[in-house]
Amino acid sequence: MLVFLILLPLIGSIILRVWALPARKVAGGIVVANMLLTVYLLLGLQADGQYAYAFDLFKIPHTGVSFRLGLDGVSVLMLLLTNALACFVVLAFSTRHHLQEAHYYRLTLLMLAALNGLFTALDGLLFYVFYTAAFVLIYFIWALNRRETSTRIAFRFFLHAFLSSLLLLVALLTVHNQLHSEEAGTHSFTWETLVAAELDTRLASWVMWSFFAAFAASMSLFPLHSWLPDLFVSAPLGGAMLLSGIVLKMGLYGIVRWMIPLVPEAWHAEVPILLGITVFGTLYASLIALKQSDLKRMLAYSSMAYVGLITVSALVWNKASLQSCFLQVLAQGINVVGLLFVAETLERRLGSRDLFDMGGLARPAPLLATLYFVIVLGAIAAPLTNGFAGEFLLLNGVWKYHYLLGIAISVNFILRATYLLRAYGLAVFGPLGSHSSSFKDADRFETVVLSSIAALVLILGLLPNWVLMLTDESVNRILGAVQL
Amino acid sequence: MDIVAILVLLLPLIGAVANGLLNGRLSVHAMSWLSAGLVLLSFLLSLYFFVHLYGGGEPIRTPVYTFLAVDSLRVHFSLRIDGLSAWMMLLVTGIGSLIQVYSSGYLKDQPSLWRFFAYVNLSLVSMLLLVMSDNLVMMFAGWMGLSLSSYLLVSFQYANRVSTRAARKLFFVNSIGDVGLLLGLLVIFGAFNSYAYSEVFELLPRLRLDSATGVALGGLLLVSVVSKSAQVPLFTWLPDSAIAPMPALALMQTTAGVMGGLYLAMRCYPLLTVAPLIHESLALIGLVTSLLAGLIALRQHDVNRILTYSTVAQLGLTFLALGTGLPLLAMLCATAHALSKATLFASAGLIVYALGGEQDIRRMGGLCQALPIAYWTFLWGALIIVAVPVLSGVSIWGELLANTRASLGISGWLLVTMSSGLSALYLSRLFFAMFFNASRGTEEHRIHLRKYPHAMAIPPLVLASLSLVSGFLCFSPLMPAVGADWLIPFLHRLFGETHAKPALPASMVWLFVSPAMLLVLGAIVGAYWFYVVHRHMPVYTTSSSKVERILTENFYLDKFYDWMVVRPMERLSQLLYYYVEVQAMEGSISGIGKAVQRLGTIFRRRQNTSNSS
Repeated sequence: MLVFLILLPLIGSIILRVWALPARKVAGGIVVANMLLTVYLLLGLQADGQYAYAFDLFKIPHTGVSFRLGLDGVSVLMLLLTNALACFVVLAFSTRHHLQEAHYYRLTLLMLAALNGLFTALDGLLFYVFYTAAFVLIYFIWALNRRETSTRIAFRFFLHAFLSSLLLLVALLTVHNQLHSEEAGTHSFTWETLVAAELDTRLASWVMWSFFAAFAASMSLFPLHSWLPDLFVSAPLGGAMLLSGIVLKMGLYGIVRWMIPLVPEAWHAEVPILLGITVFGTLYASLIALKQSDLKRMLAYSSMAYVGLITVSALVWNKASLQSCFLQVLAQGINVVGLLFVAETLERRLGSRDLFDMGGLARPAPLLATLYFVIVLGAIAAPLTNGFAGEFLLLNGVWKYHYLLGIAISVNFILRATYLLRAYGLAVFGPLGSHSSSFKDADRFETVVLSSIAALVLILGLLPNWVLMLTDESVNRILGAVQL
Repeated sequence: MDIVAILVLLLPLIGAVANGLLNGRLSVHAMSWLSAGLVLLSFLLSLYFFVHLYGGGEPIRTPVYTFLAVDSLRVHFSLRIDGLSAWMMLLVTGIGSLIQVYSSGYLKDQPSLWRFFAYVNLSLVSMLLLVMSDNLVMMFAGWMGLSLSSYLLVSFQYANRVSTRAARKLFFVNSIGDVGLLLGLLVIFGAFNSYAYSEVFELLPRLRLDSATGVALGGLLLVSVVSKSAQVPLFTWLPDSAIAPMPALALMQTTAGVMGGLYLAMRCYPLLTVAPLIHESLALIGLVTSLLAGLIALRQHDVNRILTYSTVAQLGLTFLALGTGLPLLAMLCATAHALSKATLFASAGLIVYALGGEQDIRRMGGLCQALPIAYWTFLWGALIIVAVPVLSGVSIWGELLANTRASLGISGWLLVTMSSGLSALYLSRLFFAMFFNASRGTEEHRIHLRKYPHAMAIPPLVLASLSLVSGFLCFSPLMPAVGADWLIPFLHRLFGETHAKPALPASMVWLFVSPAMLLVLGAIVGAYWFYVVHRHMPVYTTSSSKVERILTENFYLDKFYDWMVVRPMERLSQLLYYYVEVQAMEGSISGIGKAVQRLGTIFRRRQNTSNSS
């Protein structure tokens, strides 16, 4: 079953390449089928934390690479977010005409295949392949927006993507080689065998840093973030949504699923430094977001800060923080998509992303202003919105680790509320801006999109325990795999 | 019973949602009847719970659902109605519905009034959640909901940048308190391994908290209470918010806003008293606040701002009562404050409405004939406010004298006496400036006043008669014969053993109370002599003395925060962006690019040389 999640979009993109079919309809059909499949898998999943729907297709002889997939509560959550977002990106933008529609849908389908593979892979090299594919694909989606392509941005991106991919491969191979030298004859990259590898302390430390740098580059953690803001502001809307909704969190999944279980001792020895870097980066990004006048650039830094925050919860590694990690991934995925949609709507109407060109939009567009506010509430983690439960658990987990870390993180909360409400105030309140005199309120399409996002913000905010129950046993199992 | 408890919370929420969904499709009357009616219904249900508890019924616990559960960390969405909650619910829904009736008249010309009603309802829901919650996490939800709905209320007139700036400041200062409270909750969970009130307070006497935990816990709670209830040094956001429409102010200052901090302090009173240091600072903060706010109020010219500073001062006295170990008295002060301050806002609102939005007391005067309802209700509310600190002050400082060193007690008592004199002074100034002598306003103000709708006259009258109750309540600890025996024992039960009987004999109490009474009388007579007889009414002046500037600038606290917190943070943000984000990142990336190119050149050259050789 699981393999169809990858095959369907893959085949879809090939079909679109070969035949000139109506791209939107084909892509739409495939993403919907994928979404239904994900829901079907979710419903059939036992809440015991074991891998379900295990799939072992083939093994390439002598290399030890196998096509092995599996699904647990954590992966299914990521799949749910990925496929729902893909549905959203493909279906919701049916009214937006892209210059290269076919390319756009093809790339989105490929991206979906890569991400679905990434979150279900149980083989190290398979994970590597999907990871690199997804990371690079975001570039191609960005490049569709020919208007603003520039070699500078492209170079920055490739530098990071290249670094990330290379370091990940090196780390995986090193772990595998250790294994190989110990037990001759067993060639395997599967999760179970890699976890069993014993590395000596020095080597483990190198491997850990290599993993961390690889994932940090894709999560745009400080100081490996310089590719993100430019790419983020100039990507087509769907690309930016995929980027901030999922692609930035691949590394997070990598840390939880691969890095820490593979080199637990090294992680444990270095965790104060890792946390220091991450928290610093988060505060740095929040501080920069404080005075941005470009709405999308502010969202880029906000995403960066947010991903840093979630990384903290992964690195702290206890029950509460790991549970919060996936809840936050889901919540932030929803919120950032909503905020991006609002930003895009404002940009399209006003012809500018600059907050100082906006102002007073509450008068001509009360509905848009209200829905925007609900999404902002989710993003600043107001209680009983989707951001709150995750951050509350995060604080609980972090507090257990060290109270100073909790204080540093809560400073971030204040900063975030400040910059998000500043942007909201500048855009929506105040006297009517010069650009906004003929501003129109949300049309039917925008109303449907935004109110469904707002509804998700509230539903998930009131009932976070649904998500927690889904991941509970899987998180226990992941925690149990790390013996110090 | 369960569903009824949920309904109390749900009804105002329905009002908020209905106002939001039916935006503008209802007439002002329909909107106000809808929201006020739902809140009134909620009030009746609260009354039912109050009667149940008054008759000696058990506190009601209503579990609704599990909000989140991770191992031992379990948070349930559940409601709890005990005496304290029921009393607060009565205040919140009672005053809340009156404010809604009032605002339908006061704001009837405002565009998109539905937003205002929705915000008011949201505030009320937040406050109800705050007081009805059974655990600290859901209480926090209400707490932050209050910050957000106050933000919305203050930014209601969003086209005015002054309002939105005040709203942002409100939210920023409140978010310091929010985070303080959040961290405080973590400390509580660390110590008690639970967020439920029942477990925390059950465990508290048996658990010996070490002093560091006690101070951390109490300190964080103190920070949150101080920021929410606008006390020194985090009070400046409340006067700034006085730009909001008057009903919004009445709501924020008497029911759903600053009262949240007070409720938290009363609910978590046992936690605040774990560390004596925190308990004493609460008293000190309250005292200093009441004095500073009273001083500032003397030099203000805007009705809203004077009443707002008066709120700050009143709350200061309430915290003083808490800080000196008298939660019952704090409760009485809070009740008296809520009812009488709502009365004052309502009656002052009649004047402002009649004068067509004029809020400056330098353009008022001579209104006692024209607006008799405003005159009498204002007089009554002001009397209650002035009388309460005197009467409560005596018991507080009587207690304090009995409990602490005599020197501290005497100076503290002197300061409280001064503070009650101050409140008498600034309220008299306001009162005389509004109602006495000739009008100082424009020609139009003098000749024909705008007629207010009848609906607007009901709330001040009802509130004034209700504040009579609070007046009785405050007299009774001092003079048991006066009355209110029907309520005091009930309120007593709320705090169990924490309230000790006044240790001082009645004669000593009178000894301490009489100077304050004399001072208050003196202040009123003096103000009459100065403002009315000698006609030194507040007028426009261009010159302002140094003292005056210090007072109007809130003792330069705003400037201080601006220079110490806001500007450095913004500057840092800009510096980081330009130097690190743009320059350093650009430099390093292009450096890498150049290095790669150079490497390429070297290889190419080597390749060429090796080819040619």
